[in-house]
Amino acid sequence: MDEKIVDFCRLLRRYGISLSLAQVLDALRAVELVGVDNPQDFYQALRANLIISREDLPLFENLFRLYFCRSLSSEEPRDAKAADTDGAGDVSGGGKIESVASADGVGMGTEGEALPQGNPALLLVKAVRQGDYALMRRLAERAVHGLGAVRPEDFKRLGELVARAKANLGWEEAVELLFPSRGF
Amino acid sequence: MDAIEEFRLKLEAAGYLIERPEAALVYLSLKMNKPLLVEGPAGVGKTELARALAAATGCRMIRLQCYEGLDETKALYEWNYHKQLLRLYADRSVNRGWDEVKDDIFTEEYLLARPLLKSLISEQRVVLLIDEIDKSDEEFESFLLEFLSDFQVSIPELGTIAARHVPVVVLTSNNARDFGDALKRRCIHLYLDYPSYERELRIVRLKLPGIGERLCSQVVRYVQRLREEKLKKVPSIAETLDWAQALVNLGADCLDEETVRITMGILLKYKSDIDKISAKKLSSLLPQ
Repeated sequence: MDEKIVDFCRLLRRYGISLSLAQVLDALRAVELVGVDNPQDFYQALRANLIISREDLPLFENLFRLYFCRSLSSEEPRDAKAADTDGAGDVSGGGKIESVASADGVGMGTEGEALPQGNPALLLVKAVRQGDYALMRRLAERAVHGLGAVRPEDFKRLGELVARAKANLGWEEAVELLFPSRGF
Repeated sequence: MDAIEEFRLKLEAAGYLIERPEAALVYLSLKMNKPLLVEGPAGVGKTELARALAAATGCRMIRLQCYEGLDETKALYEWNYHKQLLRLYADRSVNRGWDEVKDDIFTEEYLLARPLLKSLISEQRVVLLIDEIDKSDEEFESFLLEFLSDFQVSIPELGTIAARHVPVVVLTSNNARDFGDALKRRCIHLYLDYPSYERELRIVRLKLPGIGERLCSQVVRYVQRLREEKLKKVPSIAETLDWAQALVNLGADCLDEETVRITMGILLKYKSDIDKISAKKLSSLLPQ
Protein backbone atom coordinates (compact mmCIF):
# COMPACT_ATOMS: atom_id res chain seq x y z
CA MET A 1 0.00 0.00 0.00
CA ASP A 2 2.86 2.37 0.82
CA GLU A 3 4.11 2.22 -2.75
CA LYS A 4 0.67 2.93 -4.10
CA ILE A 5 0.35 5.97 -1.89
CA VAL A 6 3.75 7.26 -2.90
CA ASP A 7 2.80 6.67 -6.51
CA PHE A 8 -0.45 8.54 -5.92
CA CYS A 9 1.54 11.45 -4.46
CA ARG A 10 3.61 11.51 -7.61
CA LEU A 11 0.42 11.75 -9.59
CA LEU A 12 -0.72 14.69 -7.45
CA ARG A 13 2.57 16.44 -8.01
CA ARG A 14 2.31 15.90 -11.73
CA TYR A 15 -1.04 17.69 -11.62
CA GLY A 16 0.55 20.66 -9.90
CA ILE A 17 -0.22 19.96 -6.27
CA SER A 18 3.02 20.62 -4.47
CA LEU A 19 3.86 18.26 -1.64
CA SER A 20 6.72 18.20 0.80
CA LEU A 21 8.44 14.98 1.68
CA ALA A 22 7.19 15.38 5.23
CA GLN A 23 3.63 15.51 3.95
CA VAL A 24 4.04 12.27 2.05
CA LEU A 25 5.55 10.59 5.11
CA ASP A 26 2.72 11.93 7.24
CA ALA A 27 0.17 10.56 4.80
CA LEU A 28 1.78 7.13 5.11
CA ARG A 29 1.75 7.34 8.89
CA ALA A 30 -1.88 8.45 8.86
CA VAL A 31 -2.94 5.53 6.68
CA GLU A 32 -1.08 3.22 9.02
CA LEU A 33 -3.17 4.63 11.86
CA VAL A 34 -6.60 4.43 10.25
CA GLY A 35 -6.03 1.34 8.14
CA VAL A 36 -7.61 0.71 4.77
CA ASP A 37 -10.80 -1.06 5.80
CA ASN A 38 -12.88 2.08 5.90
CA PRO A 39 -12.61 3.94 2.58
CA GLN A 40 -13.81 7.18 4.11
CA ASP A 41 -11.14 7.16 6.80
CA PHE A 42 -8.58 6.31 4.18
CA TYR A 43 -9.68 9.24 2.04
CA GLN A 44 -9.60 11.61 5.01
CA ALA A 45 -6.17 10.42 6.08
CA LEU A 46 -4.74 11.30 2.68
CA ARG A 47 -6.67 14.50 2.14
CA ALA A 48 -5.90 15.96 5.54
CA ASN A 49 -2.17 15.56 5.08
CA LEU A 50 -1.77 16.25 1.40
CA ILE A 51 -4.13 19.10 0.57
CA ILE A 52 -3.36 22.46 2.08
CA SER A 53 -5.55 24.72 0.02
CA ARG A 54 -9.20 24.33 -0.61
CA GLU A 55 -8.85 25.14 -4.29
CA ASP A 56 -6.98 21.90 -4.82
CA LEU A 57 -9.76 19.85 -3.30
CA PRO A 58 -11.83 19.13 -6.44
CA LEU A 59 -8.73 18.05 -8.32
CA PHE A 60 -7.66 15.88 -5.42
CA GLU A 61 -11.08 14.26 -5.23
CA ASN A 62 -11.05 13.41 -8.89
CA LEU A 63 -7.54 12.04 -8.87
CA PHE A 64 -8.35 10.07 -5.76
CA ARG A 65 -11.33 8.53 -7.50
CA LEU A 66 -9.36 7.74 -10.59
CA TYR A 67 -6.61 6.13 -8.63
CA PHE A 68 -8.43 4.34 -5.86
CA CYS A 69 -11.92 4.21 -7.30
CA ARG A 70 -12.38 0.48 -7.46
CA SER A 71 -13.67 -0.05 -3.97
CA LEU A 72 -14.98 3.36 -3.10
CA SER A 73 -18.12 3.50 -5.18
CA SER A 74 -20.38 2.01 -2.53
CA GLU A 75 -19.34 4.43 0.15
CA GLU A 76 -18.16 7.63 -1.38
CA PRO A 77 -16.07 10.10 0.49
CA ARG A 78 -18.45 12.62 1.86
CA ASP A 79 -16.67 15.64 0.42
CA ALA A 80 -16.74 14.16 -3.02
CA LYS A 81 -20.08 15.12 -4.37
CA ALA A 82 -18.88 16.29 -7.72
CA ALA A 83 -18.48 14.38 -10.92
CA ASP A 84 -21.12 11.75 -10.84
CA THR A 85 -21.72 10.36 -14.25
CA ASP A 86 -24.46 7.95 -14.97
CA GLY A 87 -24.47 5.72 -17.96
CA ALA A 88 -20.74 5.39 -18.19
CA GLY A 89 -20.80 1.99 -16.66
CA ASP A 90 -20.29 1.54 -12.97
CA VAL A 91 -16.95 1.44 -11.34
CA SER A 92 -17.87 -0.66 -8.39
CA GLY A 93 -15.66 -3.48 -7.42
CA GLY A 94 -16.30 -3.96 -3.74
CA GLY A 95 -13.72 -5.23 -1.33
CA LYS A 96 -10.59 -3.53 -0.16
CA ILE A 97 -8.98 -0.51 -1.66
CA GLU A 98 -6.77 -1.38 -4.55
CA SER A 99 -5.32 0.90 -7.09
CA VAL A 100 -5.86 0.69 -10.78
CA ALA A 101 -2.94 0.11 -13.06
CA SER A 102 -0.03 2.43 -12.52
CA ALA A 103 -0.47 6.11 -13.12
CA ASP A 104 2.22 5.94 -15.75
CA GLY A 105 0.14 3.69 -17.97
CA VAL A 106 2.02 0.53 -17.22
CA GLY A 107 -0.30 -2.38 -17.71
CA MET A 108 -1.93 -1.18 -20.87
CA GLY A 109 -4.05 -3.91 -22.28
CA THR A 110 -3.85 -5.33 -25.76
CA GLU A 111 -6.48 -4.95 -28.41
CA GLY A 112 -9.30 -7.36 -28.32
CA GLU A 113 -13.02 -7.45 -28.70
CA ALA A 114 -14.99 -4.92 -30.70
CA LEU A 115 -15.43 -1.42 -29.38
CA PRO A 116 -18.58 -1.05 -27.27
CA GLN A 117 -21.22 1.22 -28.72
CA GLY A 118 -22.30 4.40 -27.01
CA ASN A 119 -21.47 8.01 -26.40
CA PRO A 120 -17.68 8.25 -26.88
CA ALA A 121 -17.31 10.79 -24.07
CA LEU A 122 -18.96 8.46 -21.58
CA LEU A 123 -16.83 5.56 -22.80
CA LEU A 124 -13.76 7.69 -22.34
CA VAL A 125 -14.79 8.61 -18.82
CA LYS A 126 -15.36 4.95 -18.08
CA ALA A 127 -11.98 4.00 -19.52
CA VAL A 128 -10.17 6.62 -17.46
CA ARG A 129 -12.01 5.79 -14.27
CA GLN A 130 -11.42 2.08 -14.60
CA GLY A 131 -7.87 2.51 -15.74
CA ASP A 132 -8.80 0.54 -18.85
CA TYR A 133 -5.89 1.43 -21.09
CA ALA A 134 -6.96 -0.99 -23.81
CA LEU A 135 -10.29 0.80 -24.12
CA MET A 136 -8.54 4.18 -24.15
CA ARG A 137 -6.33 3.05 -26.97
CA ARG A 138 -9.23 1.76 -29.02
CA LEU A 139 -11.17 4.96 -28.46
CA ALA A 140 -8.17 6.96 -29.65
CA GLU A 141 -7.85 4.76 -32.69
CA ARG A 142 -11.48 5.22 -33.56
CA ALA A 143 -11.13 8.97 -33.17
CA VAL A 144 -8.18 8.99 -35.58
CA HIS A 145 -9.98 6.73 -38.05
CA GLY A 146 -12.84 9.19 -37.93
CA LEU A 147 -10.58 11.77 -39.58
CA GLY A 148 -10.77 9.83 -42.83
CA ALA A 149 -7.84 9.70 -45.22
CA VAL A 150 -5.01 11.91 -44.04
CA ARG A 151 -2.57 13.16 -46.62
CA PRO A 152 0.99 14.22 -45.80
CA GLU A 153 0.20 17.90 -46.48
CA ASP A 154 -2.55 17.70 -43.86
CA PHE A 155 0.11 17.49 -41.18
CA LYS A 156 0.78 21.18 -41.71
CA ARG A 157 -2.55 21.64 -39.99
CA LEU A 158 -1.77 19.21 -37.21
CA GLY A 159 -3.45 21.32 -34.56
CA GLU A 160 -6.68 21.26 -36.48
CA LEU A 161 -6.46 17.49 -36.94
CA VAL A 162 -5.95 16.96 -33.27
CA ALA A 163 -8.89 19.22 -32.52
CA ARG A 164 -11.08 17.17 -34.87
CA ALA A 165 -9.91 13.89 -33.36
CA LYS A 166 -10.65 15.26 -29.92
CA ALA A 167 -14.12 16.23 -31.06
CA ASN A 168 -14.66 12.67 -32.35
CA LEU A 169 -13.55 11.37 -28.99
CA GLY A 170 -15.91 13.61 -27.01
CA TRP A 171 -12.83 14.97 -25.30
CA GLU A 172 -14.24 18.22 -23.94
CA GLU A 173 -17.31 16.54 -22.55
CA ALA A 174 -15.27 13.79 -20.91
CA VAL A 175 -12.88 16.27 -19.31
CA GLU A 176 -15.82 18.23 -18.02
CA LEU A 177 -17.29 15.06 -16.52
CA LEU A 178 -14.02 13.97 -14.97
CA PHE A 179 -12.84 17.34 -13.77
CA PRO A 180 -15.94 19.49 -13.41
CA SER A 181 -14.21 22.50 -11.93
CA ARG A 182 -11.19 22.85 -14.17
CA GLY A 183 -10.76 22.32 -17.83
CA PHE A 184 -7.43 21.65 -19.40
CA MET B 1 -16.07 -0.61 17.78
CA ASP B 2 -12.91 0.85 16.34
CA ALA B 3 -10.68 3.49 17.88
CA ILE B 4 -12.05 6.36 15.81
CA GLU B 5 -15.65 5.60 16.69
CA GLU B 6 -14.70 5.32 20.32
CA PHE B 7 -12.98 8.67 20.13
CA ARG B 8 -15.97 10.21 18.34
CA LEU B 9 -18.24 9.09 21.17
CA LYS B 10 -15.87 10.62 23.70
CA LEU B 11 -16.19 13.96 21.92
CA GLU B 12 -19.97 13.58 21.90
CA ALA B 13 -19.92 12.81 25.59
CA ALA B 14 -18.01 16.07 26.02
CA GLY B 15 -20.94 17.83 24.37
CA TYR B 16 -19.59 18.09 20.85
CA LEU B 17 -21.55 16.47 18.05
CA ILE B 18 -19.21 15.40 15.32
CA GLU B 19 -19.45 13.15 12.28
CA ARG B 20 -17.09 10.34 11.61
CA PRO B 21 -14.94 11.97 8.88
CA GLU B 22 -14.23 14.98 11.07
CA ALA B 23 -13.66 12.80 14.11
CA ALA B 24 -11.14 10.77 12.11
CA LEU B 25 -9.14 13.92 11.42
CA VAL B 26 -9.11 15.04 15.04
CA TYR B 27 -8.11 11.53 16.02
CA LEU B 28 -5.27 11.56 13.51
CA SER B 29 -3.92 14.88 14.67
CA LEU B 30 -3.90 13.60 18.23
CA LYS B 31 -2.18 10.34 17.37
CA MET B 32 0.32 11.89 14.98
CA ASN B 33 1.16 14.79 17.26
CA LYS B 34 0.40 17.07 14.35
CA PRO B 35 -1.33 20.39 14.97
CA LEU B 36 -4.98 20.45 13.93
CA LEU B 37 -5.83 23.41 11.74
CA VAL B 38 -9.56 24.08 11.88
CA GLU B 39 -10.87 26.37 9.18
CA GLY B 40 -14.37 27.54 8.51
CA PRO B 41 -16.77 30.46 8.89
CA ALA B 42 -17.21 32.16 12.24
CA GLY B 43 -19.43 30.42 14.71
CA VAL B 44 -19.41 26.86 13.41
CA GLY B 45 -17.77 25.54 16.56
CA LYS B 46 -14.05 25.69 15.92
CA THR B 47 -13.11 26.91 19.38
CA GLU B 48 -15.73 24.63 20.87
CA LEU B 49 -14.01 21.66 19.27
CA ALA B 50 -10.77 22.46 21.10
CA ARG B 51 -12.67 22.67 24.35
CA ALA B 52 -14.34 19.32 23.75
CA LEU B 53 -11.02 17.79 22.77
CA ALA B 54 -9.56 18.92 26.08
CA ALA B 55 -12.50 17.46 27.97
CA ALA B 56 -12.38 14.20 26.02
CA THR B 57 -8.67 13.70 26.59
CA GLY B 58 -8.70 14.93 30.16
CA CYS B 59 -6.28 17.74 29.39
CA ARG B 60 -6.34 21.31 30.55
CA MET B 61 -6.82 23.84 27.80
CA ILE B 62 -4.53 26.82 27.34
CA ARG B 63 -5.75 29.44 24.94
CA LEU B 64 -3.83 31.97 22.96
CA GLN B 65 -6.06 34.50 21.26
CA CYS B 66 -4.34 35.99 18.24
CA TYR B 67 -4.67 39.58 17.12
CA GLU B 68 -2.74 41.97 14.99
CA GLY B 69 0.41 42.99 16.79
CA LEU B 70 0.56 39.94 19.01
CA ASP B 71 4.21 39.39 19.82
CA GLU B 72 6.43 37.05 21.77
CA THR B 73 6.11 38.92 25.03
CA LYS B 74 2.38 38.31 25.03
CA ALA B 75 2.50 34.85 23.51
CA LEU B 76 5.62 33.30 24.99
CA TYR B 77 7.10 34.98 28.03
CA GLU B 78 8.27 38.25 29.49
CA TRP B 79 10.34 39.18 32.48
CA ASN B 80 8.47 40.39 35.50
CA TYR B 81 10.04 43.80 35.44
CA HIS B 82 8.31 45.10 38.56
CA LYS B 83 9.33 42.16 40.62
CA GLN B 84 12.90 42.46 39.41
CA LEU B 85 12.94 46.12 40.39
CA LEU B 86 11.55 45.34 43.80
CA ARG B 87 14.22 42.78 44.32
CA LEU B 88 16.94 45.24 43.40
CA TYR B 89 15.43 47.80 45.71
CA ALA B 90 15.16 45.35 48.58
CA ASP B 91 18.76 44.33 48.10
CA ARG B 92 20.12 47.84 47.83
CA SER B 93 21.78 47.80 51.28
CA VAL B 94 23.56 44.55 50.57
CA ASN B 95 26.68 45.21 48.66
CA ARG B 96 26.67 42.73 45.83
CA GLY B 97 28.31 42.66 42.45
CA TRP B 98 26.21 42.94 39.32
CA ASP B 99 26.98 39.40 38.18
CA GLU B 100 25.56 38.00 41.35
CA VAL B 101 22.44 40.14 41.20
CA LYS B 102 21.93 39.37 37.55
CA ASP B 103 21.98 35.65 38.25
CA ASP B 104 19.28 36.19 40.82
CA ILE B 105 16.82 38.29 38.94
CA PHE B 106 16.89 36.37 35.70
CA THR B 107 15.58 33.13 37.09
CA GLU B 108 12.27 31.36 36.69
CA GLU B 109 10.92 33.20 39.67
CA TYR B 110 10.92 36.42 37.67
CA LEU B 111 9.61 34.91 34.51
CA LEU B 112 6.02 35.48 33.40
CA ALA B 113 5.02 32.51 31.33
CA ARG B 114 2.53 33.32 28.58
CA PRO B 115 0.33 30.68 26.91
CA LEU B 116 2.96 29.12 24.65
CA LEU B 117 5.54 28.74 27.38
CA LYS B 118 2.85 27.58 29.80
CA SER B 119 1.96 24.79 27.45
CA LEU B 120 5.56 23.60 27.47
CA ILE B 121 6.22 23.68 31.19
CA SER B 122 2.88 22.30 32.31
CA GLU B 123 3.15 19.18 34.45
CA GLN B 124 0.43 17.49 32.41
CA ARG B 125 -0.18 17.39 28.72
CA VAL B 126 -2.38 20.29 27.65
CA VAL B 127 -4.51 21.26 24.70
CA LEU B 128 -3.04 24.45 23.30
CA LEU B 129 -5.65 26.44 21.39
CA ILE B 130 -4.17 29.09 19.11
CA ASP B 131 -7.33 30.92 18.18
CA GLU B 132 -7.79 32.95 15.00
CA ILE B 133 -4.27 32.53 13.75
CA ASP B 134 -5.26 34.43 10.61
CA LYS B 135 -5.51 37.61 12.69
CA SER B 136 -1.87 37.57 13.76
CA ASP B 137 0.79 39.03 11.50
CA GLU B 138 3.35 37.27 9.40
CA GLU B 139 6.16 37.82 11.86
CA PHE B 140 4.30 35.96 14.52
CA GLU B 141 3.43 33.25 12.08
CA SER B 142 7.07 32.47 11.35
CA PHE B 143 7.81 32.47 15.03
CA LEU B 144 4.94 30.05 15.55
CA LEU B 145 6.21 27.80 12.79
CA GLU B 146 9.47 27.44 14.67
CA PHE B 147 7.67 26.82 17.92
CA LEU B 148 5.50 24.11 16.38
CA SER B 149 8.41 22.27 14.85
CA ASP B 150 10.62 22.06 17.93
CA PHE B 151 8.30 22.56 20.87
CA GLN B 152 11.07 24.30 22.69
CA VAL B 153 12.05 27.90 23.27
CA SER B 154 15.31 29.60 23.95
CA ILE B 155 15.42 32.22 26.63
CA PRO B 156 18.82 33.90 26.38
CA GLU B 157 19.23 34.34 30.14
CA LEU B 158 18.00 30.88 31.03
CA GLY B 159 18.79 28.61 28.16
CA THR B 160 16.52 26.28 26.24
CA ILE B 161 13.27 25.07 27.66
CA ALA B 162 11.91 21.94 26.03
CA ALA B 163 8.37 20.66 26.35
CA ARG B 164 7.72 18.36 29.28
CA HIS B 165 4.81 16.99 27.27
CA VAL B 166 4.24 17.95 23.67
CA PRO B 167 0.93 19.81 23.73
CA VAL B 168 -2.06 18.93 21.59
CA VAL B 169 -2.23 21.96 19.31
CA VAL B 170 -5.41 23.26 17.74
CA LEU B 171 -5.21 26.27 15.42
CA THR B 172 -8.32 28.00 14.18
CA SER B 173 -8.76 30.33 11.24
CA ASN B 174 -11.59 32.26 9.64
CA ASN B 175 -9.56 32.79 6.52
CA ALA B 176 -9.21 36.51 7.18
CA ARG B 177 -5.88 36.26 5.46
CA ASP B 178 -4.12 33.43 3.77
CA PHE B 179 -1.13 32.26 5.68
CA GLY B 180 2.03 30.55 4.66
CA ASP B 181 2.24 27.12 3.10
CA ALA B 182 4.97 26.04 5.49
CA LEU B 183 2.64 26.36 8.44
CA LYS B 184 -0.20 24.70 6.59
CA ARG B 185 1.93 21.74 5.61
CA ARG B 186 2.68 21.10 9.22
CA CYS B 187 -0.98 20.69 10.10
CA ILE B 188 -3.85 18.29 9.72
CA HIS B 189 -6.60 20.16 7.94
CA LEU B 190 -10.17 20.17 9.05
CA TYR B 191 -12.81 22.29 7.34
CA LEU B 192 -15.88 22.84 9.43
CA ASP B 193 -18.91 24.14 7.63
CA TYR B 194 -22.42 25.03 8.69
CA PRO B 195 -24.16 21.91 9.92
CA SER B 196 -26.82 20.00 8.03
CA TYR B 197 -30.42 20.31 9.17
CA GLU B 198 -30.29 17.05 11.10
CA ARG B 199 -27.02 17.85 12.79
CA GLU B 200 -28.08 21.34 13.78
CA LEU B 201 -31.30 19.90 15.17
CA ARG B 202 -29.30 17.54 17.33
CA ILE B 203 -27.02 20.36 18.48
CA VAL B 204 -29.96 22.54 19.57
CA ARG B 205 -31.57 19.62 21.38
CA LEU B 206 -28.30 18.81 23.10
CA LYS B 207 -27.62 22.37 24.24
CA LEU B 208 -31.21 23.30 25.09
CA PRO B 209 -32.78 20.16 26.44
CA GLY B 210 -35.90 22.05 27.47
CA ILE B 211 -36.89 23.21 23.99
CA GLY B 212 -40.12 21.93 22.45
CA GLU B 213 -39.87 19.65 19.46
CA ARG B 214 -41.98 21.88 17.22
CA LEU B 215 -40.14 25.10 18.02
CA CYS B 216 -36.79 23.38 17.70
CA SER B 217 -37.40 22.10 14.18
CA GLN B 218 -38.94 25.40 13.09
CA VAL B 219 -36.00 27.38 14.42
CA VAL B 220 -33.46 25.20 12.69
CA ARG B 221 -35.36 25.14 9.42
CA TYR B 222 -35.68 28.93 9.49
CA VAL B 223 -31.97 29.43 10.14
CA GLN B 224 -31.07 26.97 7.41
CA ARG B 225 -33.26 28.94 5.01
CA LEU B 226 -31.60 32.20 6.03
CA ARG B 227 -28.20 30.71 5.21
CA GLU B 228 -29.30 30.34 1.61
CA GLU B 229 -29.93 34.08 1.36
CA LYS B 230 -27.23 36.45 0.20
CA LEU B 231 -26.40 38.17 3.45
CA LYS B 232 -23.44 40.05 4.81
CA LYS B 233 -23.27 37.62 7.67
CA VAL B 234 -25.43 34.55 7.82
CA PRO B 235 -26.32 33.20 11.25
CA SER B 236 -23.96 30.64 12.76
CA ILE B 237 -24.68 27.84 15.20
CA ALA B 238 -24.01 30.20 18.07
CA GLU B 239 -26.77 32.48 16.78
CA THR B 240 -29.17 29.59 16.30
CA LEU B 241 -28.63 28.65 19.93
CA ASP B 242 -28.99 32.23 21.16
CA TRP B 243 -32.17 32.66 19.17
CA ALA B 244 -33.65 29.38 20.33
CA GLN B 245 -32.81 30.28 23.91
CA ALA B 246 -34.44 33.68 23.53
CA LEU B 247 -37.58 32.13 22.07
CA VAL B 248 -37.77 29.65 24.91
CA ASN B 249 -37.38 32.51 27.37
CA LEU B 250 -40.19 34.37 25.63
CA GLY B 251 -42.37 31.34 26.12
CA ALA B 252 -42.88 30.75 22.42
CA ASP B 253 -43.78 27.25 21.38
CA CYS B 254 -43.76 27.92 17.66
CA LEU B 255 -42.62 30.63 15.25
CA ASP B 256 -44.90 33.37 14.03
CA GLU B 257 -44.20 36.51 12.09
CA GLU B 258 -44.37 38.85 15.05
CA THR B 259 -42.00 36.79 17.21
CA VAL B 260 -39.52 36.52 14.39
CA ARG B 261 -39.70 40.28 13.79
CA ILE B 262 -38.87 41.26 17.35
CA THR B 263 -36.10 38.72 17.78
CA MET B 264 -34.50 39.14 14.37
CA GLY B 265 -31.59 41.11 15.85
CA ILE B 266 -30.33 37.99 17.55
CA LEU B 267 -29.95 36.17 14.26
CA LEU B 268 -28.72 38.92 12.00
CA LYS B 269 -26.06 41.37 13.05
CA TYR B 270 -26.20 43.89 10.21
CA LYS B 271 -29.02 46.33 9.70
CA SER B 272 -28.84 45.86 5.95
CA ASP B 273 -29.37 42.13 6.43
CA ILE B 274 -32.34 42.68 8.70
CA ASP B 275 -33.88 45.15 6.25
CA LYS B 276 -33.36 42.73 3.40
CA ILE B 277 -35.06 39.85 5.17
CA SER B 278 -37.85 42.04 6.57
CA ALA B 279 -38.60 43.36 3.09
CA LYS B 280 -38.94 39.80 1.86
CA LYS B 281 -42.14 39.27 3.76
CA LEU B 282 -41.01 37.21 6.69
CA SER B 283 -43.77 34.71 6.34
CA SER B 284 -42.39 33.46 3.06
CA LEU B 285 -39.44 32.12 5.01
CA LEU B 286 -41.56 30.73 7.78
CA PRO B 287 -41.98 27.00 7.89
CA GLN B 288 -45.39 25.82 6.77
